[in-house]
Amino acid sequence: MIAKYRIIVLAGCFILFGAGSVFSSYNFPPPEFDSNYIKPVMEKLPAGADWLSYLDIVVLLGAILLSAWASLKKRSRSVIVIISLFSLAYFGFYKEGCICPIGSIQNVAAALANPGYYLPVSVILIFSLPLIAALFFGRAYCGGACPHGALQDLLLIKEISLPKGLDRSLSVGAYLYLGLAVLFAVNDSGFLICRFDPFVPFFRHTGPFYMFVTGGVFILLSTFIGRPYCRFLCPYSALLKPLSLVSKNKVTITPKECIVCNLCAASCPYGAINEPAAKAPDQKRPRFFYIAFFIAALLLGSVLGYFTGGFLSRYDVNVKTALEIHNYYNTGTKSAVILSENAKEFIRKGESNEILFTLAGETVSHYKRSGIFLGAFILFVLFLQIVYSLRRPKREIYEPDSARCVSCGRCFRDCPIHRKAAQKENENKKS
Amino acid sequence: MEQRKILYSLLVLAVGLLLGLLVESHFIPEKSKTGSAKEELPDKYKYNIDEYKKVDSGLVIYREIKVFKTGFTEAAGLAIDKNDKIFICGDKGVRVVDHNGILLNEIISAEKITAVAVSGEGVIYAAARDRIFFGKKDFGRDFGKRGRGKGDFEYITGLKTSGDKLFIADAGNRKVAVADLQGKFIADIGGKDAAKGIKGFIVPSPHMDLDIDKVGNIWVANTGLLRLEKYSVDGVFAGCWGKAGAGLDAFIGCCNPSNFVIDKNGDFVTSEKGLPRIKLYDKTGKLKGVVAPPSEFNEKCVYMALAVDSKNRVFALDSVKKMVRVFEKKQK
Amino acid sequence: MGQENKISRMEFLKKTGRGLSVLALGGIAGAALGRSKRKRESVWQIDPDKCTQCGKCATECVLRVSAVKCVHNFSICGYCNLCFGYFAPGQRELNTGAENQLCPTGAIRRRFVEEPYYEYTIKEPRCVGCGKCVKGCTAFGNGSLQLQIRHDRCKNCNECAIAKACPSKAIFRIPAAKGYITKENNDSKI
Repeated sequence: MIAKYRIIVLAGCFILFGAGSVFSSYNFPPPEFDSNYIKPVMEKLPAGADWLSYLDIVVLLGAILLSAWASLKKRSRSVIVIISLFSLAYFGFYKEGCICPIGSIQNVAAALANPGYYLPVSVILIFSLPLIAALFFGRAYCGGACPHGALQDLLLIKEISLPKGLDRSLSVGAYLYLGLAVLFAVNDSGFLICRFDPFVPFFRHTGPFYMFVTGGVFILLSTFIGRPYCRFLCPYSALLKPLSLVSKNKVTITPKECIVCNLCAASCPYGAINEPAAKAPDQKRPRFFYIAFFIAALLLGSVLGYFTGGFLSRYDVNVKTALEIHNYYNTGTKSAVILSENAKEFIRKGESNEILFTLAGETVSHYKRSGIFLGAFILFVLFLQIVYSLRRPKREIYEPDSARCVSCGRCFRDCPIHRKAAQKENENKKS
Repeated sequence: MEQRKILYSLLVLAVGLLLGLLVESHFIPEKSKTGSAKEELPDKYKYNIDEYKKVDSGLVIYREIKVFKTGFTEAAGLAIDKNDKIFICGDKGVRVVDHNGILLNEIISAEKITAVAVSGEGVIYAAARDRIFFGKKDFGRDFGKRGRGKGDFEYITGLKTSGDKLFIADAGNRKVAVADLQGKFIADIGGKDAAKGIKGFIVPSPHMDLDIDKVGNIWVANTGLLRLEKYSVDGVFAGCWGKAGAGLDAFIGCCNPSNFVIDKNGDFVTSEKGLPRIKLYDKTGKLKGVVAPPSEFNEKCVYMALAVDSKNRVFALDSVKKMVRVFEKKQK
Repeated sequence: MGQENKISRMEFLKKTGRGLSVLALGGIAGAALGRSKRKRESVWQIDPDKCTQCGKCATECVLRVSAVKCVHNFSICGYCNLCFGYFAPGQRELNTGAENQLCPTGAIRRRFVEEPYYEYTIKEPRCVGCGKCVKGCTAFGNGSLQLQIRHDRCKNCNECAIAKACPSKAIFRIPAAKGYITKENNDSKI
């Protein structure tokens, strides 16, 4: 009924404005037919409705909250595994991994840098919900709602533990990746995180070859190294870590008081359990030492970043094409230069070189400027890592490291107090 | 023990990465390196008309002698008066230039001018799609309105004056309208007549040019049939020539020639789009030679409006280079 | 005493940190949303006026058979007898013989309407999105055949692989409500 009305209204508009005059860009009158031929309409299958993406957000929020409940309240690894399986199936294989909070970092960065960018409200929600949840429940998103985390978590067969030093230094990779991804996103050069995502090709059963190679390596690794992508690369973890440090609620290994029985010490495949330690002997360095170190790091980072930025700009398509075109016109032997498709297309179109060069120049200088921030950020992270590793606070019990714990719930089962409590609960249920 | 395991895992990682790099550098073709999954498209999926672009250089009987800027982003038409002043029309109006491209006069218009003509008295006629402006120094007067009736226009793509008459090729209405120099409608030529089974002009795309020969016959490009049609002064069909095909002597595509002009010898200079080329035919449709082969043009070149000056030089619009290109017959 | 102080100091720091984080998150989200003038759900589309039919759509899409296919915009079609989107340039005869056809997969159907007009329709399952017919139609005719991202096939990737590879930058996001860009409703022309 409604459809019928719409057709009438549309037809009315057509008669009112005359065929073709509604749009100005293409309006040459088509041929008129003597036979009663009726023109077919261009086939236009609709895009998914807006509410579908909001449904996904509801599902995401549900998965995060459920995962938080399972890790904080219910304290059940099996529930977390079930949520993980669901997330892997729904967000991973059914929705095929797009769009996810990890990738949404780039959308937000691009929107901040470029007001013309499309940033639907749903994407902002996908970006911020897991982060807000981290402030209250720790990394509940990583534990059960993230298909990438779930895949690696479920694949872990026989873990080996990495030495602390190696673990710490590799985890700087996440911040580096975050910095690079943001740098590329704000300069409109593409989404690195999406392009090199190791698991999406498996979710989709299709993708470029190099993605399958990196994905395969990560899948192989995650059978014996716990969550290699999450720990050493995932740029979203770089945001989640500092936030979960100040989280209101934390995962605890034991439901009551820790008896320092040592049973849980080896249960965490991610090296996220801090062991009891005596306070390190006081070796107070003067405060100005830290400040000087800090300033030196920032300065060094800025300078390095400036040059790195200039180097990285070559990976921007415009800059690449501009360089090629420049070389093409400035080398005598034109035939010897092998041009990329983009450069060929540019020459074929016969557009102005100057415009391309100025645009590319702007991109390069923008890269250099944002490179300063990137460099300063990386060195700042390094500085914090070093300061953090020098710090030896006194600790009396076994507890998960708030930043590194991904709320997987593996340690619960190794805690005798937890087991006793669980047993009791079961008995209560039976009676 | 632990140490060894780490060593092994790092080794596996290294081997994996090396393998990946090896495959990447040796087995993936260079062209698909920018992140593509598959090989380049096989040739059968590519549109290729290169073999028709080849023209024997002996057949090219004209040479390019100069070029100058049109001054428009989208130039559309060209006309030359008896004093060899050149009138170029386009998105911003009409520009009058001398044969070196030096601006003599400019008439600005808010609408895009799709065709231009000059009368013997030097009155400029400029068509803005469905209206015609005219005047000597400005567009003080105009006539016509959008519509399908007599004296109405839909999409004017060609204008010519001859004696005291103005001939208007309306591609939208698929007809040629004749008016007097004041804009008063006289008659239609070559309209569709369903009753008599006359299909009239088949114009699939907005290209339909016309010209008047020395005798006063009206020649119209019936682009959908890929031929030029002759009509007598009273609008009676009097013959045609032109055939479809990819060969040099034929007109290629669905709808060509996009533009044409009759030169001082009574020969026809034609331009085609899709496979941009300018050719010279005699009045019976026999190919005399090539003015400019496809290699002279960017393949996206359309709207190659043509005009001929008193020295029989061919002026052609190049819509990609935004230039007027001038061709002269080679000396023997 | 000292111990208690220290714990409460830690708690205080955490609370402040949490407050600041909420503020910062809200700030980032708000600023990003505020700056972005386009907040509706969006989909990928090809600008038919920028498309040069380079063939990348057929090869770069993450799907095995690209989400890009040829669609026919009948409203601007000239219904040409000698359609250069249908016939190979050197065709011998104007009939539907395979040797005369341009499409390598035979995905276009030609049907007589009335003298001298013919209707052309795309058999979607056969189309691979190479754009060969589009190139012919655009060069010689009106370009009523156009390549377009079909929403029933597109996965709406966050970063479209074809968009990145497109040498003409003809692929971008448009509001999902608008659906499809055709030559008539194309307001993104430069």
